[in-house]
Formats: sequence, C-alpha cells, structure tokens
Amino acid sequence: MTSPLPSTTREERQAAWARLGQESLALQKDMREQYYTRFKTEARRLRDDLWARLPVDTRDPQSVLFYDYGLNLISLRHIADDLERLSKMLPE
Amino acid sequence: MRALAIFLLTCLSTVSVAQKAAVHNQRAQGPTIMSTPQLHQWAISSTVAVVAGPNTPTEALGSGVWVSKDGYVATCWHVVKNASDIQVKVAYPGVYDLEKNILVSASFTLYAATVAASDEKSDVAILKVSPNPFATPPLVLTNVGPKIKLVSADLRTALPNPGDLALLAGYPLGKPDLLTQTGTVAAVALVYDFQVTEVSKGVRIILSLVSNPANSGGPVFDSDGKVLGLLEGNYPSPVKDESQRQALYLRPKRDANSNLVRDANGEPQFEIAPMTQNSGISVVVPARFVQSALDRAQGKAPAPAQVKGSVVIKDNEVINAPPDTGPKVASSLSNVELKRQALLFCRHFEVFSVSKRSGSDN
Repeated sequence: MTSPLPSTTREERQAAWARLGQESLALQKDMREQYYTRFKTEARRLRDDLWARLPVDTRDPQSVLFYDYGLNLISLRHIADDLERLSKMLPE
Repeated sequence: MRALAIFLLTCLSTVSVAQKAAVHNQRAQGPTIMSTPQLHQWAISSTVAVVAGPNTPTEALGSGVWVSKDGYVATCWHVVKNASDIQVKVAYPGVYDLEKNILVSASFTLYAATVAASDEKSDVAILKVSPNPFATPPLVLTNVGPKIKLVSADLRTALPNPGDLALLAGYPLGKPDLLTQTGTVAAVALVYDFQVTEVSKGVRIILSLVSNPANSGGPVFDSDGKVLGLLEGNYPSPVKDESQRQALYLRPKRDANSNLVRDANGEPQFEIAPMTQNSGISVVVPARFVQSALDRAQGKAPAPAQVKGSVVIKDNEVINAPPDTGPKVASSLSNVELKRQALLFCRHFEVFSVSKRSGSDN
C-alpha cells in the first residue's frame, strides 16, 4: 500500500503525523464547541417535541449521549439521521 | 556473602509483611489513599490468575479478583466462555537467591471453580471457588517466602472521574508473578467500536494503559484499593509499525478442538504467537456490572438503576427516556410546522458537519 505521506525522512513523517493528530483534535474541539453554542439547544428542543408526539418505542435510547455531548462527526450524523427519521414518522 | 544475601532477603520479607500490615490497618480505619507499593501488596492479596479451558494447562488465560469472602471471584466472561474446566490460581511471590542467581521457590495453589453468574453483554463472570479458601483455616497461606493473607476487594460502584489514578493487576502472558501497572482514567464512554465478543458492549471506563494477553478480567484498583472494574481488553493500534516488527509471546499450543497439545511425556506444548499491536488505550468493565452479577450469584435483589443526567444506566443497558421521565407535553406547533422545522434544521446541521469534515467553516 502506498503511503499517503510524501516520501520524506522518518523524522519528517513523524512530525507530519503529529501535526495531523493535533489538527484533528483541534478540529474536533472546535466542532464540539460550535455544536454546544449553535445547535445543541435546538436539536434537543426538536427531539423532545417529536418525542412528545410519537410513541415511546420510536425513541432511540442510544442517541441521548450523542445529543448531550455531540462527541464527533459520527455523532452529528447520528443526530441528523435521528431527527429526520422522527420527523418523517410524524403524521401530517 | 551468603549470610549477607540471606539477611537482605529476610529484611525484604520483613518490609513486605510490614507493608501488608499497614495496608490492612488502613483498610480497617476506612477509606484512605494508598501509596503504589501498598496498592501492589493489596493487589497481591486479592488478585488471582484464572485458568480455563478443556484440558487446561497451568498457565493463566486470564486474571480475576476476590470480590466476596464467600469464595467468589470476578473475571471477564470471555476468559471462561465455553470452558468446561475452570481453575483459580493463587500464586505466591517468588523467593530469589541473588548470590546463586536462582529462584528458590515459587508455588501456587489451584482451586476448582464454576461459573455462578455471568453477563455476556457486560463481559462479566462470577466464579464460585470450591473449597472456599476464606472459610478453610488458616487464612494465611504460608510458603517458604512471604506470607499471603487473602483479602476480598471492595467494589467501587460509582464511576471514576477522568484523571483519576488507577492500578491494573494481573498475570499477563502466563507470567508466574503478579504484574501491576499504573495508568490514568481517560474517560467514561459508551463503547460501541470495541468488542472482545460478539455481544459485549456498553458503558466502559477507558484507561490510558497498555494491557496484555491474560490481563483480561484483572482488577483495576483506585487509589483507595477499591476495584474500579475489570480489564476487558486493549484497543488495537490503527497504526502499523513502519518496520513491521511485531512482538511475540509464548502461549499453550492447542489443536482445532481447543484441546491442549502434549508431547509423549504428557507435557504441554507451547507455540510462539504474535501479539496484537496495542494502542495503549485499555477498556475496563465498570465495577457496577460486577456488583450486579455478584448480587445475582448470591441471590440478592438487583440494585436499582443508576440515573446519570438524562441517561439511565441499568446493568449494562443505557435506557433513556422511560415513559415517566420523557417529555409529555408537545409544543403548540402543528405537526406540519414541526416537521418543516426539523427537516430544515437537519439540512443546516448537515451542511455544518460536512464543512467541518472538509476543514472549512460556513
């Protein structure tokens, strides 16, 4: 398998790897903070309102942690999927 | 010179006994912070090796911890699953002669055990040991070397906080001596991307520590000597070593039916096996699940569910929004309007997450 990193010295590759890790952590931290300030309240309001109108067994117990903490991109995707699923189950 | 070596060994034994006495005295006085040497002594007194399988060798396949003076040992379910023959091994610390550079004595006692209760999802098994060494005097098991007084460790059912210090104890890699390692509680998380068996998953304590084969089921102690949980496994590293070097270890050789392969003299055979490259992130089953399984083994009523924020944790199941605590009153919005708002939010939200994935901000 070809390395995604350019053919450089071992030290340069290690430095690039460390930089990539730091950037990834910084991105996740920023994303989590933005989730808290921009989306969390609204996401939970919509979920609670949908929950109140739908049968209890439509609730996904595993999703609560994702709504509460917005841990990573997978969590954000899960929240969007969960809200879309609930809203499409709502009778008009 | 010989006399000096024996004198030094005697002094070491005396210090060891004094440390253990200090540990037991402190335990009697209630919760206290133990030093690492004290915790190590505490671990020696409460940690066992678990030997399991059909036609078992005496090498440990896992570790465990005494959790009740009624003779119950807690370990991980994956250590003893499908095992028809389970034994708990209490090992005595080795005594060494440095002058001759030899091991003077190292011995152990094997106790037969059966699974009294298990929880596959939490990866917990409670073993009932027979005969119960706590009920059979003398409690102090003597050997040529230092004495061991078996103790039953208390379980800390409350979850730890990230940053708490932890000490892992066990008999990894078939080593005859108890090995301990110190680490830090990195997080408490709902683990869904690490499973040692098909069904084990749920809330776990994440420990920044490299564990090894046969560490499974070993206790993780907090600074008070209470069991935080049982070591379940180690996240494999996603990064391969550039040189492709891989650590190797010796393990008992087994045939296709998991039976031990023996030579003409009946001695077990061993083979060299590659170790999984570890990430240094270990997964620990919280002690609360151990307590639930122990209660079942002892025929006690299960503990009530633990409520943490908006999440209810019962056994290893995260149960949320039970009918009596979920939202009961809907807003005045019509269904159509709520649906429109939710779908619009989803679109904004997805644009946000995609922009984050690509590294730009909108």
